[in-house]
Amino acid sequence: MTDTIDGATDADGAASGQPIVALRAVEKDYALGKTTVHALRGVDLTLGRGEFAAIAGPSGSGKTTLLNLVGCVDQATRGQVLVDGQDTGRLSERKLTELRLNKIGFIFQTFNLIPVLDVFDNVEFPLLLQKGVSKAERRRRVLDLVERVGLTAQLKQRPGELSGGQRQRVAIARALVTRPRIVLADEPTANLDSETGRRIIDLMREINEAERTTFIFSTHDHQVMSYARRMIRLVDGRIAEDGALATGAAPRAANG
Amino acid sequence: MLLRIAFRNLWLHRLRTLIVGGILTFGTVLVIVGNAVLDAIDAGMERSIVHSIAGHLQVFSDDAKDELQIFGAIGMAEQDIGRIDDYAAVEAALAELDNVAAVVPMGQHNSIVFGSNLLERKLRDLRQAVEDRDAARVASLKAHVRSVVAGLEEDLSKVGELAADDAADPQQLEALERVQQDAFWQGFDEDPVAALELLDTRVAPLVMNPSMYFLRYIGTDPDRFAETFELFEIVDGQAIPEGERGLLLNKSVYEKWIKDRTARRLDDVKEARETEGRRIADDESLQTLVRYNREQVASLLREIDPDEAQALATALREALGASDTELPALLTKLLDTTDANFDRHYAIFYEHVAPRIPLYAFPVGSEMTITSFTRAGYVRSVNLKVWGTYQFRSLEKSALAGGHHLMDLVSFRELYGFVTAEQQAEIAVIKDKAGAQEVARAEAEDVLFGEDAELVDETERTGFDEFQGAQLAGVRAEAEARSTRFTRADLYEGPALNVAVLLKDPARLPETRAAIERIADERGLGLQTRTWHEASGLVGQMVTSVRLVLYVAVAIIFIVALVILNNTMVMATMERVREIGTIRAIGGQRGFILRLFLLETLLLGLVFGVVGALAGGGLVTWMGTAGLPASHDILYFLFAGPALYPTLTVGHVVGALSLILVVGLLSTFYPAVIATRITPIEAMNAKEAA
Repeated sequence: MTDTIDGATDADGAASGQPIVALRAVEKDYALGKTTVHALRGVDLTLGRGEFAAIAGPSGSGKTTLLNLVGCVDQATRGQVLVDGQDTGRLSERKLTELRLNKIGFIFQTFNLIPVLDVFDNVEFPLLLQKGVSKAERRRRVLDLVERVGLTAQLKQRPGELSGGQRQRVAIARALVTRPRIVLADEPTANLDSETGRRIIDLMREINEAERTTFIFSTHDHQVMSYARRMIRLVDGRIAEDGALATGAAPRAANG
Repeated sequence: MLLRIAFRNLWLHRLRTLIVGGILTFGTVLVIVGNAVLDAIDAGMERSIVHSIAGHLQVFSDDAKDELQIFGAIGMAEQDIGRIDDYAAVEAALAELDNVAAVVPMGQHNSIVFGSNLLERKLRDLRQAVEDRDAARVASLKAHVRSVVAGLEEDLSKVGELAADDAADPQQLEALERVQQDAFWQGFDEDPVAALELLDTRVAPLVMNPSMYFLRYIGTDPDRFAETFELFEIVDGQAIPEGERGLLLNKSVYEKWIKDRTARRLDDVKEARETEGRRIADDESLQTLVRYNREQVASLLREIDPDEAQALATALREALGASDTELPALLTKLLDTTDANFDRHYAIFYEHVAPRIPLYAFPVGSEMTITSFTRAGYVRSVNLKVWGTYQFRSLEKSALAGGHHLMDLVSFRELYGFVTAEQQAEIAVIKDKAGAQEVARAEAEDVLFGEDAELVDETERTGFDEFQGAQLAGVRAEAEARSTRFTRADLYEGPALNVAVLLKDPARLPETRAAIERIADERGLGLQTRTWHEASGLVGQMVTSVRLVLYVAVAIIFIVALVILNNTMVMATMERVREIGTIRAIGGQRGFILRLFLLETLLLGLVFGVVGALAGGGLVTWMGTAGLPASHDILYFLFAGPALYPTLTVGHVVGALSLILVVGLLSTFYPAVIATRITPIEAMNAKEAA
């Protein structure tokens, strides 16, 4: 992959024609007291397999809303949101939950680990929800991912005993353990210092390149943004800018 | 995994877990202990009722106008429970049923008994002394009678002021004048019989009857009663010998009402001090008893034979270490009891004073004149020997146990106004002779019982003339000469009012009850049945009420617990919005969240329920060995003794645990449903540190 290729075109090609995520004329309104907030005012967006996209924009521009719609935790007021080819507007709550479980990984700004479980258990948790994954397979996958995020030594520690960066790495491992098609990260570095944040993004990008898992993350940190290969800028609920990005800031971009 | 999360969550919120768990533990303990105690009370009451007078089942006539209430109705009103005309046929029918262990014929009735007054008693002694030609004794009794007679005039003048129009018969007043003259007493020895007659018939009736006793008695076969009811035991004297007429007085009534009042008050103080730990110094009611005893020295003094007075005074002076020489002063000193001297004075009273006074109005071995109204409203009296006193073991102190006296069924029938087959035959003969004139039943009884030498026709006590008195004496002599014995046939081949049935296997009660009703129908016996519980009336309802109160209390506690738990769990849910939302976001279904919450409660309920069950079980076991003391006579009855010994059953534990789990799950259900409504978005918005 070259640095200058149009991300969308590249992704479409890599996904063998079918996009992982497609938004068509999506609008999202929230009722806030008596007024209605138009969080998204007509968004068209397509994301292909293996993309590493950043959603940027000022606060209130609709970044989180967009991620929520893609992450199937919210549904559009108007328009269509297709995730892995399924129209989320037509799915039941139960089906949406299944879709989240099997196709989507979440990384939260506040890490959101389960406090009473240790690192191993936290990472294993989604696999238990999936059922049908054998114990040996679960163990193999968890240990593999924990090693990948560099926390093998902390395997038996609880979230409370870990630093912010370590917690977010556990969250990344948890997000990846089900081998999802898309990983969504809402401001994954906002609660971390810049050096730790850089390493987290670095890790995400590394996995993106190795596994071709699609990553979409929101941020308003310019340094973090510079790691993305595609950047979608939102302003007032509309896409103001969508384009490929030079990824020179990414240390291992040269490999790609 | 669910289990691990649930456990660790409970552990993480230890304080809340402990508070909620504490409530659940308390609830479990309460339910277990409450149920165990109530079951023990139930069993105790069943024992008290079944094995004292009721039996498992009561059988009585279906003609009954009133409901059978074996422990008496409110106000002791006379009940009409019909009659079983042919008891022998009923017994024969019941004996055929294999679960019937014993059958006891019964009947209850009320009577009035007059205590003999002091003058009557002294005159009786004097008559005896005259017959024995004991000159010294005659002289001393003469003196005693004279002093009593002197006191009588004083009393009468007081009464005269109160009720002038109702003044005594002038003939009697004139006799009273006469017996106060020295001349009368000087002439006494010349014709003691005539003198005694005058005193007996003219003067003694002037003495106001000091005491009238209402006695409720059960007519039965005393032998069978004693062997059937296992709580029955003789306290004083002996059982009524087989085939003899007689009475067994209820020990508790005997002590409470028939005992000399001074002695009774001393007993009361002793009991209050010993069993309730009360002290005279700071207990007003005990002080009142002591004051009464001091003030009643005069009446106590009158009972003491002048012959004995000197000996008593000497003994008291020595025992009390007092310098007084006069008996009244010594008695006052003796009865002026304090906490310091009570035990000593009590012992002195029973050692020296009690043997010199009539301690009981009707001592064991004496004869009582039982007076009752027959069903037809006629007055009947029967003289019966008091053979002894009895009590129901472990119910000694319980007034609820009925306070019935026991009487042979033959005497009972006479007092109740039954006509036996034999007597009916006699009526037929009389009717024949009288020209087949129709005689009302009541009158027939009159005719019949008039012929029975043992019956003393009670006319106005104050209305005897000499002739009648003489006749009465003759009747008495005749009655004594005649045997008081009766045969088994007399006892069984006649009517009864109700029948107590003891079962071999109480668990089969409903079945046996049906069998009794069936056989009664087949043979046209005209019977109905009641269980011990139904027959015990108000007494039986008491446990039901106690149980109801406990259940209401438990319900209130559980409702409060439910509200507290519910609130706590809702708060806990709110604290866990992010965790729940996260689980939902990464793919946990709503059912997963619901299960997680219910599992937590289930664990909480189980752990603390088991703790509560252990504590409750331990408490019940401890109470089972140590006993729960009965502090009141009602408790005595319910506990079937001085203490309750509850036992623990698997049912108590399982019941309490199930209840606690249900309450726990109920209180979690609402918060759990709220939890399932939490959306992943809320999880992302919730700002808490992980």
